[in-house]
Amino acid sequence: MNSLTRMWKKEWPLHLMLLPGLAFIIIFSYIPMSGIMMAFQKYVPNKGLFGSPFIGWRNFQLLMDYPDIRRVFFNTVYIAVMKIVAGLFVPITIAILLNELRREWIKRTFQTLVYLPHFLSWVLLSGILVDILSPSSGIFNQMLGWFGIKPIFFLGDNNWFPYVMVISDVWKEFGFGTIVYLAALTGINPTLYEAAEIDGAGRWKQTLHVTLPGMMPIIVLMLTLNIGNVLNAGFDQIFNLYSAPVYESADIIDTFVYRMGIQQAQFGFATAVGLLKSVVSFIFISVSYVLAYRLANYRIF
Amino acid sequence: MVIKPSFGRRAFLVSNLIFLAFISFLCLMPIIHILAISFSSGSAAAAGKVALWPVEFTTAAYDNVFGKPEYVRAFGISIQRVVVGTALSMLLTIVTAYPLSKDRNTFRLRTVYAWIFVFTILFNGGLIPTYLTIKSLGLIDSLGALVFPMAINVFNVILLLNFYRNLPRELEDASRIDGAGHFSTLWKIYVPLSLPALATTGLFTMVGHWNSWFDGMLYMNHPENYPLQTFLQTVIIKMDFRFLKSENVELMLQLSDRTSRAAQIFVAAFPILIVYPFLQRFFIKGIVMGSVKE
Amino acid sequence: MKSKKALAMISLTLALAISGCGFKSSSEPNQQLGNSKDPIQTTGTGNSDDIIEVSTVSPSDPYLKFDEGEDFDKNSVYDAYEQDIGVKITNKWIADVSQFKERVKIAIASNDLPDFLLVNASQLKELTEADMIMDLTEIYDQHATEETKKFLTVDGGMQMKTAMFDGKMMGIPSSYNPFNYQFLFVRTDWLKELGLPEPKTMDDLIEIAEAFKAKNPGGTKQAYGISVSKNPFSTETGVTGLRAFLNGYHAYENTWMEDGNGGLMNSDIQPEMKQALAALQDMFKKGLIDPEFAVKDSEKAAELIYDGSIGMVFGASWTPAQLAKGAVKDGKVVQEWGVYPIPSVDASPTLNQIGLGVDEYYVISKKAKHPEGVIKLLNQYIVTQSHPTEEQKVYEYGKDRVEKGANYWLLNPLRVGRQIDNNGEILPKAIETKDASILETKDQKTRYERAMKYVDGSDINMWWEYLISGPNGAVSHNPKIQQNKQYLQNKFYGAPTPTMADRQEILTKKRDEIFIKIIMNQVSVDEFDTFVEEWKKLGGDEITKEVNEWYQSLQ
Repeated sequence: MNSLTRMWKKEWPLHLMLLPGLAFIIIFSYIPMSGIMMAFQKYVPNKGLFGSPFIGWRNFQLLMDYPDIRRVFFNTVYIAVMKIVAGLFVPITIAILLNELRREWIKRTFQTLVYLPHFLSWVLLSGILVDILSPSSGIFNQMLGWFGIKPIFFLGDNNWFPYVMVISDVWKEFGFGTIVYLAALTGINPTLYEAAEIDGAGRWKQTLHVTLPGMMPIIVLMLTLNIGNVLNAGFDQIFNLYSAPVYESADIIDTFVYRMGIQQAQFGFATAVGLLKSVVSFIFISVSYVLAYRLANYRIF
Repeated sequence: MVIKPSFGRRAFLVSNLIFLAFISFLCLMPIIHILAISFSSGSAAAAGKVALWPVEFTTAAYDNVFGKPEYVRAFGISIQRVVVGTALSMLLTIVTAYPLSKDRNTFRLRTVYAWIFVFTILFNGGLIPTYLTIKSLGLIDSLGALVFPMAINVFNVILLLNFYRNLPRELEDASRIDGAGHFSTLWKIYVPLSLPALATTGLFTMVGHWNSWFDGMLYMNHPENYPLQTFLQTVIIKMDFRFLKSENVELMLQLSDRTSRAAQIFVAAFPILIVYPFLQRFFIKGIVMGSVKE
Repeated sequence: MKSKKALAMISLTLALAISGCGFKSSSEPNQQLGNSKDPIQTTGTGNSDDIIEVSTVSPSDPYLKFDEGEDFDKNSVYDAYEQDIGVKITNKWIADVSQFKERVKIAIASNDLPDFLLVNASQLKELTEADMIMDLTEIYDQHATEETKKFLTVDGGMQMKTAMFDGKMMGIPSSYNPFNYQFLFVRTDWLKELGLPEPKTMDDLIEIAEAFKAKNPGGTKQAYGISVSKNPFSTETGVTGLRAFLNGYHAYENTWMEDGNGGLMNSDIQPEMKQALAALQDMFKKGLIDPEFAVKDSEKAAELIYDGSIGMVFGASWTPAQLAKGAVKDGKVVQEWGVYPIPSVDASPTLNQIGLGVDEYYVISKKAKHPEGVIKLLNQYIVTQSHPTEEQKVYEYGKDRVEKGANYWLLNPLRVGRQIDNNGEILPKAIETKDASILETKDQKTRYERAMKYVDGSDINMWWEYLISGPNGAVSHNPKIQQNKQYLQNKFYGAPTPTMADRQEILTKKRDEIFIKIIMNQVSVDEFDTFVEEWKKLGGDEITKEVNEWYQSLQ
């Protein structure tokens, strides 16, 4: 009892500081979370959340009964994992390379330019990609032609489609992704570099032994949070770019749910799929949180 | 710095420059393409003849965009939401991240709190319950509906708390010895020293507010309250061609006009594009260390 | 002390943020905290002029231009309804037309209906089952005028029937003319240049396609025979689709048709489909179809039409509006197009597949206090549309009662369309003889005026209307199709059956995947037989059973 009061006396300002934030998430996140019940209901609007009949796992059953479900899951995870890996590696590399630029204005210009594609929508980019990747007239295939490679129908070929998704997504987002690493770089103590230089370490060694360790907390954090996206392969992008010949390699959970939504006016199904995705994210994030704590003694959050 | 760099170093610097220039060029191309379309004639754009330079130059698309009063009004609402939304959100983020950045000896319940926050990234109740909540709070048709649900961005909180942790303990200890409380430590030490992180999270918040359109559609009962991106959706969205009545034909002609679409996207993205170069000045290296030395 | 100051600052900022958050909304704030009671108030139950109030929701449209001082809350159309029939219209919310349907979904799911609103067939069923909307049988019978009843049953009552559940009328069909046919559009300047016949048969079509490809009259890098886009079987693909091509082979896209034994069968799995696919594969092999069609949406595919690489395309009657982007340049017609009925593969004529002409319904909330007000709106709308007096032109044009392109008709909250139009009989003749006196409907007058601008040379951009409505235009083919009954109407209507709701998506996806692979020559035509088997197994048989049960229940 006594220790509790002492703790309260010492810590009350910290609790107080959390209060406004907590208020917001309780009102705008936790209260609406009651909607998760819809996943187990046949939702009837005028009976509401608390009056609609429960139907157990039927909404999940509908998902699992889908004949192509294994394919769809595989595509989702396959594309998502590649995006997570590339989406981590590329921005870090570019951030380090940008950091090596010596003239500040060149650095800033490049930073700004690579950040631009983030603001283009996939609706718009899909038209551009169809042009660029066209086997008959696209500039990309023409360049491949210089090396004697036959034209490839990137958007219409199941062997290529997932990679096109990953590469184009990385291209669109890496510039925006570098921002956070550039911020992390500013936090590295310059004296560490000086010390390393005195020890005779070249730039490469400095990158390896000073820069990367300095960025590590943010890298681990970004990795952990991105791992939660293992079932998000990017609806907007795939929806705008896929087509019947590549359904086999391109159909993901979200595009499937979207198409079901046109037939089905039910909210239960979409909620059930959303819940499933949340649970999977939760598991992945928890595991990586625990791993980071056990292995590196570092709490990500 | 005075020492002349070795040959290997110079070779690296040059190839690095070339490589990054090439990458930047790849990112710039589509923007130029869209810009070229927006300044081309409608028929040239429709026939896909425009590459990186306008064909049959015209500013008609821009005249069309700026000629709409709705555009200006929606623009104003977007600015409002970005300013109010970012201010509120940054304030909450700064204050929330501070206690969570403490270790468990200083703040015993921190991990519990952290998970309470993180949980909201993972789980959400979906469209209808969220809508009903906003509605029962009487926020429909108000800026609050756009600003409050996004007020706490947990991702930004986590990011910021990780930056806070990197700040040297000595500074805080010194300030505490001087008798400063948590609030003033946060204000006087943490905030000025995490400018790069604040610029980053601030940018994310602004971009988030600027780009989101669905909430505007959902929570506004009058189109004149739409923010810019919601308004643009009304112009860009594809028509349902199945039931095209004669009156809609003219509408279709206008909607499928690529040039004004391109112009609209460009004009809409421009303000947020110029924010970043401005914020870059806060990415100051060694800001933390500099203050320790003093 | 310092922490208190900081705290004060935070709360001040928060307070500022919150208080600065109200927009000046142009209407009364319609926030009903907590309970979702409808905001309907009878402004004069007995005491004033017996004006009743009904609430609805409205889409706003970029083409609706309000007169000075008017808006959705107060305008001359609403005023006219209030004065003429004593019904005051209010809006619970207004959403842009492109986002209206999404908002309706949310309004239904959150049980927040206005007195009446427009919903689709699935929603009609959902609302009926949830007991959220009113049975209109009696109210309609009592309050609808003879004229209204006649107007909505011109088609023999088909559309009305689709709104019935267990003999109860649950909605007012938002009717329109179902006889929207598809046509073949061909570059006539190229036909002339190459000395080719007009397309009367499928063989002609293929001959023309081959000639267009081989001779490349557009002089582009690469010519093709016919334009196709990525979702060629979807009903949403109005131009660059292939449903019309299928019809030419007497195959139909997902249509329920009579099986000859008093039951219904699905058209997707009939042998004619296989022949049509074989023909398409053949065309693909000959290079008559763009090998990249499968990734191009309509707009992208149409680039090749605009730039002169392709001179043949199937499409709805409004296709010329699309073609105009390439055909008219700087006030000159640079591509000449002709419209032809869909050619047939054999001696029997092509049947155009069509829907029912209704897919949306006006429903009245169970909580509505004055459902009769809604029926009055319907009566009045039909009167003012069919034979408006000078006074009543306000419903069409606003208070000035003259056409000024403001589209005031969009303000009528409940609109139904003619179930049969005679544009095909009237328009081509009127335009040819420049005789405006025979025009009957508003639609015809608008179209006539547009076409005449092209004819007299004052606006060449109106070329597309001439190709739709003029002599030899698209609609000029309608009377013949109509008279000879060269159409096939889907026999199934209403909300999807239970298995359809769960399984239709799977069947459609499988179908598109296999059909397009067959066309692209990635798999043999015989894969069609495998598809038929799979279709049956994956729920097709079950759906057929349900559809037939439904069909029997109608008899």
